[in-house]
Formats: sequence, structure tokens, C-alpha cells
Amino acid sequence: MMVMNTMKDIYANRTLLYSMIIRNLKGKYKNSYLGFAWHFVTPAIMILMFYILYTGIMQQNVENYWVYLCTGMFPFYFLQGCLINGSNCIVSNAGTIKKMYFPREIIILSDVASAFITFLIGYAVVITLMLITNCSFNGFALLFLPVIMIITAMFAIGYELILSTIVVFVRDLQYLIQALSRILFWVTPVFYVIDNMKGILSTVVGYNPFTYFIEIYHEILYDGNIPNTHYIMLCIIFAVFALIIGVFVFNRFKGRFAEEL
Amino acid sequence: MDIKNAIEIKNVSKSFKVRINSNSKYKRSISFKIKAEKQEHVVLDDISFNVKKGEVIGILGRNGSGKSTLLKIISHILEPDSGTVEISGNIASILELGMGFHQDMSGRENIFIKGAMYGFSKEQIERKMNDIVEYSGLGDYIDNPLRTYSSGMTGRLAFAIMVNVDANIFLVDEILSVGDASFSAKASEHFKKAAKNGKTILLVSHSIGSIEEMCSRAIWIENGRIKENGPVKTVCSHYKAGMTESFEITSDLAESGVADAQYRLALMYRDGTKIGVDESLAFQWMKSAAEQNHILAQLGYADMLFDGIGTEQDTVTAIQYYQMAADRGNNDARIKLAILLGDDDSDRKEMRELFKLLAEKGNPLNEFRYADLLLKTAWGESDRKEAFEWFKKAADDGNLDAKFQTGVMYRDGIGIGSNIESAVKMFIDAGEMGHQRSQTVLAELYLSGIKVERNEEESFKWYLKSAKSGNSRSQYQVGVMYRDGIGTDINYDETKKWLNVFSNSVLINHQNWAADILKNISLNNEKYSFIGMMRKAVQSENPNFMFKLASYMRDKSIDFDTGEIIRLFKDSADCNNVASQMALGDLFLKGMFVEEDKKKAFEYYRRAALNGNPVAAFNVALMYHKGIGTDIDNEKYRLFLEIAQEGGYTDSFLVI
Repeated sequence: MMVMNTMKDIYANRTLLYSMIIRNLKGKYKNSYLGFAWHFVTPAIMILMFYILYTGIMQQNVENYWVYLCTGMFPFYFLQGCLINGSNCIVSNAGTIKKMYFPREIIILSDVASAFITFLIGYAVVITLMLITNCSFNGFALLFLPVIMIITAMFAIGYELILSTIVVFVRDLQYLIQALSRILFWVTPVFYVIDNMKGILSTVVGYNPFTYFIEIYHEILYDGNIPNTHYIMLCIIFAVFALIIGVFVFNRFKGRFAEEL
Repeated sequence: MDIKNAIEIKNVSKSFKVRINSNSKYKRSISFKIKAEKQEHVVLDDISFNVKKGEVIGILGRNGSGKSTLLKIISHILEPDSGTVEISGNIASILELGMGFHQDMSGRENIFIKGAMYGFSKEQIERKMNDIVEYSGLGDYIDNPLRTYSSGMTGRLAFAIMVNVDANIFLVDEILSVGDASFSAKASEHFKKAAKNGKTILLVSHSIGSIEEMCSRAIWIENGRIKENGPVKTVCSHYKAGMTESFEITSDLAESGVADAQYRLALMYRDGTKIGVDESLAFQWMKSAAEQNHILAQLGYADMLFDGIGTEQDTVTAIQYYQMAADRGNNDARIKLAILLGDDDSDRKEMRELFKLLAEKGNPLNEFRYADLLLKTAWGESDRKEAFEWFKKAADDGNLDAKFQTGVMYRDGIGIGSNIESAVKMFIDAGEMGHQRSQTVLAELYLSGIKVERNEEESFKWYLKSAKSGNSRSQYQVGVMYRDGIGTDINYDETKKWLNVFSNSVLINHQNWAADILKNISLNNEKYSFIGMMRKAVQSENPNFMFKLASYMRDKSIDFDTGEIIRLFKDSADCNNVASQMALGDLFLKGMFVEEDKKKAFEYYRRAALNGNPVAAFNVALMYHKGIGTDIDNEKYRLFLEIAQEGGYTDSFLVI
């Protein structure tokens, strides 16, 4: 019932959602020469760096390594962005929250949505490049791409709801997340291949939920396989679980945001 | 929910948890104690009220009283701990104009975001875009990023968006009091228009003026509770009274640096009204008010320095501050400075001693004169206190000017702690006896509603009295009050009459002169005669002219209606005209035109005597001696004989 009302409220404020997404996308690099392009320049530099590092210096031989990097890097950036910016987004909108009423969920939704749009455009570029370079595709597996993307977005919304709420009450978490998310990069198979992993690191990687999401993207685009059902199920469980807890926690505490901020 | 209501608030309470750091800030920040000590701070406590559709309501209260929290709860930003808020219609809360802007985006893009926050749909924004841009007057600048705007331009943009907000209910917080004058005028104009169009408006403001102007009802919130909810004029006048009288509010204002509040607070500490006497605090506050160039505070500060109240005596600094106050036109300071720098104090002392001797004999007139001298040459608090005592004594002995003066001192807290009730009592006493200045002061007190509760009926009553005794300003005021129905029913005939009287008061001296001339020469013209001219002059209700006409008629009594003569004398005597009181005393004593009435004669003589008429004083003395119209009282007999002697009435010497 409460969720239904919230949904109605969000729908009534869809113009606000829309304009906040635009604000997030445009606003971030507004004051720079490249502007919107920075959304892709940053990952491109990272991809280039790891390409050189991995193939040139570490002499690892992975077939079509740039495809592997690109297909993992963009979803990872999406998830990580939602973690770092997302956990902070209620606090960073304090001024507005204290002075105006609108469904608070819109802040979360607009944050995830704008990151998702960047992700989509990035992937569009990657797939175009793959087509140009005559990479092979599994057409049937590609049908799973939108599905996993939606699941990823749901997962992101879920943990953003949880973390952004906690950060309002315990600001320290924000700094912890910033530190942990750097480690997260090394324990997610973005630039390395999981099959080569041994020892304690592989256990840690196995406990990292991001791993399963990124692996599915790899499987669909890089390997051209239908994704592992076990992985898909895991991701759905992660997403639904995060979303349910997120909605519950957020609803429970959103009324106190204005006074805590 | 009642269909007529736009907002229904029932038993809303809200408290905030405030973290108290018992340890030092540094210590706490490195400890891992997440649970700091928390204290509940009740911001709103069981608030209930309804707002009818189309009503414009002002919410008054000082900082921290909870009014903004209330507005936030109504607008859904905060949730109440308990209680309910029901709203019918869509609501626009305008709590802060410039909020929600994104500096790196253009004005146009910001209109989208801000508009969406106010609940506009995309189409609505697009439709209103041109209006908003035009209203803001930004022109082509609208497409530049906001960070390139001046603060004035940002304000204009915010305002233009706000003006275009369409809702049934507006919640407005302090917007009318931010920005420059033209801006707030524009803003209040906008909301006035909205109110006329039947919008419901809830206005929170510090500015009592704008609330009085716009709202029909006001709610005064104090410490999270509704202190008063009623017609705007009543609530505002109580609030204003509270502002000047309340120790808490005054000390709040004083702490935030308002010089006048600091001065008033210093007086409260000095005189021990509202709070115990604390001379050093009084001195501190007086000092900071004086340093802010508050003239009266400079004088008070200098006095304290001079007398060494709450501090060590420091004549040099005292003189400096007297000088400052004197430079800015304060006469008290000038006199003190003149005496101080003149170095020769003997004249002043001599005069004082003389007047004191006279006053101690118990003659109310001399008591008044001594008090007056004391006040005018007052050194400091002790002199003022003594002056007050003497004024009070003279007042108790029946001198009307002294009553008035005592009232003024009670009112302003000179020489005694401010006590408005006693002040009003004094004014009423004197006013009832026809003291004109007391009447106007009372009328003004009741009308302004600052120190006493606003009471239009009382105000009107006193203005009318004062008008009837010939005060031209009161005559005008009475006319206006009849016109606007303030304290009386609207009556245009009376308005016309009093405004006529007022405009005639310009002529009255000429009428008087003309009458004087006509008394001595005859123009052989039916139209112009002394009596005719004087009757015109008397229309202005001036007691002097009433006496003049009445006594003329008395002397040529054969031709005139005796009732009119007595009426004229009485009216004049009631306005404290000494000659008329004297004349009436004579008439009642002799039973001329009226039935003989010794008691009345005595009463009129006594009043004239207390106003300084020596003949009347002599008569009163004799009446006390012989027991005519009063009981025999030899003490009073001697007292009034002395008054007569001091007035230079030679017969009284013969008696002794």
C-alpha cells in the first residue's frame, strides 16, 4: 500500500525525475571543455592503461583482451558509481530536502538512472566497436543483455536506498565506502580473468556480489554464451533482496532526513 | 475533514534530538562512541488549528519558537512525532527562494528543475517559460550558466519562478523580509493578489507589519505552543506588547545586538522589573547599547558611570558620553554637560534647597514644581527617584499635571520601574478630571496596543474627551475614527462635524479676536456680534472660549438662558479650566442661576485651588475653617491659606 502510494507520488513527479536526470548528466562536467564526453574519456583511459599493463607489461595472453576489458569496465563503473555517489546522494541534496517536499526516492532514482544512461551509451560505443572489428556475437545470448542490465539497475537501486539512508545517520560510512570501493576494483574480475585465480583472493572474489554481475556481462558479450543460470539466479536474488531491504529501510527513515541533515 | 478547510492540524507534536557533547569535541571525534548523549528538545507541543479555504494566516513567533518547523511539517518536509496534518488541495511551500539552483546550469535549465520541484509538469513549464524569462528581465542572459549571474539576477530568477507557481495553498516563510525593499514590496504585492484570488496563504514572518497588512488571522507560537490564535490586530498587538515587555524576548534581541533591546534590558536589570536587580549586568548592557550610539543608553551609561552604579566611578568617560548624547541633540545631556563643565553648582543647589523647603510644606503645586526642577536637573537615578516621589505626592494631593507626569514616569520607567498598570491608572485619574494631555496619551496608548492591550473603544472614548476639550489633533482623530469605524460605529455626520471643528480650529483665534473687537465697537450689523462670534469660537470646544462667553453672558444675565451659561461653565471646568471652576464655585456658593449647593461650591473651589488659583485656595481655606460644604479641618485650613499666600492673594495675610 505504502509502496503503491510512493509509486504514484513518483509518477506525479516524473517531470522532476526527468529534469534531475538531465541535471546529473549535464551538470557534472558542465564547466569543462569536453563536458559530457568525460563520462567516456575516464573509462577509456582506464581501459587503455590496463590494456598496456596487462598485455604489454604482464605479458598475459588473453584473446581480444580489449573486449574483455570494455565489457567488464562499464558495468563495473556503473555499480561502483552508484556505490560512491549513490551512498552520498541524500546528504549532498540536503539543501533541497530541507526546504522542499518531493518524493525522496526521486533522488535515488535519478542518480541510478543517470549513471545507467552513461552505462548504456558506453556499451553502445563498445558494441559498435566490436561490430567494426568483426567480433563474433551470439545473437541468442544477446537477448539476455537487457535482462541482466535491468537486474543490475535494480540491484543498484536497492543498495543505494540502503546505503544513502545509513549515511544520513552515520556519516563515517561514506568514507569507508570510498576506501572499500577501491579495493572492490581489485577483487572484481574486470581486468583479469577469473579462471587464473588461486588461493585466498579467489575466495574473496567469490564472495563479492559484483563478480557475478560482471561475469554475466563477460559471458554474454565476450564469450558469446548464454549466461550461467546459477549466476543469473544469484544476481536476481541479490537484486530482489537489496531492493526489498532498501525500500523498507528507506521508507522507514525518509521522514527523518530533513531533520537529520 | 471539513470541506471548508484547506488545512487541518490536530495535536501535532515534534521534538528533535539534540546531541550533547559532554566531552570536548576533539575527544569525541576520536572515540568510537556512536551513541552520544542525546537530549530531547520539544519544538512543537500539541498544536491544533484549522485553516479555512481562502484564508490568509500569519504565524508570529520569535526565533526558535517552532514556526518554521510547523511550516515544514505542513509541507511534508518533516514528519510529526504525533498528530495529523490533513490538506485539501495542492500545496506550494516557498521556504527559501534561491534554493535548489544548480550553479553550472543555465537559467533556463534551472527553471526546469525548480519548476519541477514546485510540481509543474513539463508542458506547464514550457508554457510558462516565456512568462518567467520575461518577468525575470534576464533576456538573453537566461541561457548563461547561473554562476555568471549576480546575486540580484539569481534573486530575480527565483522570484519570477515563484510568481508563476500555481497552487491552492501557499506556505511562505520569511520571504517578505529578505532582499531589498523593492523586492519585498513586490513579493507582498504578489501574495496580496493571490489572497484576493481566493488562495489560502500561511505566512511566517518576523515582520509584524507585513502580517498585519496581509492577514486576517494570526497565530502566535511561543515555545512550541499556540499562545494566541485570533484576529490579526489583537494578536499582533499582544505580540508587540510581549516583545517590549517580555524579559526573554528582550534578552534574545539584546543578545542578537539590537541596541534598543539592550537598553531596555539594562533598564530591567537596573530597576528590577521582570527580573532581580543586577547592577553589573545593567551596566554591561547599557554599555553595549551606548556603544551602538543609542542616545538614551549613552545618557544612561554616563549616569551609571557618574554615579558608579555597577561599575567604578569614571567621571571622564561619563562626560564623554554626555557629550556624545548632547551632540546628537539630547537636552538632558546638554543640561548635565553645561552644569558639569560650568563647574559652578551653587545656583542649582540653592534653587533646589529653596524649592525643597517650599515643597515640604505640603503644597501640591510646590511639590510639583520641586519635582519638575529635580527631573530637569537630574544628575542620576537617585534624583529621578526623588523627583518621582515628589510627583507622586503632588499627584496624590490632587494635582493633575503631577498625575500626568507620574503616569509618564511609570510608563517609561523613569525614576521607578516601568509599571504600565499604574501609569494607566494615573492617566485615567487625570483624564477623568479633564487633563487634556492625559486624555490624548491614553487614547494613543490604547490605539497603538504596544504597552497595553489594544482597545479601540477606550481609545475612541479618550480621543473624544480630548477632542471635546479642544485638542485639535484629537478632533481630527475622532473624525477619522468615526469615518473608519474604529472603536465606534461608522457615522459620517459625526465625521463631518468633527472634521469641521478641526478645520475651524484654525479660525478660532481670529473668531476670538473678532469677538473682542466687536465687544467694544458696534458695526450696526446684525450679522456680526460678540455673542455670535464667540458662539462660533465655542464650537471648537475650547474651554477658554467657553469661559469667556459664559462669563460675558453671566454679566449680562438678563438676556440669556441661564442653563446655557451653567452648561458652558461646566464643560469648561470639566476641561480643567481654572477660571470656570472658580466661577462655578462662586455661582454654587451664592446660588446664582443654580440652586445653592455648598458641597459643589467647595469641590469646584478645591479643584481651582489645586490648579493654582489663590482666590479659590483662600475660599477653600475659609470653608475648611468654618465647615462649609466640608468638615472642619484646621490643618487643611492652614495649608490652603499658605497656598493662597504663595499665590499672592493679600486678603489671606489679613486673616492670619
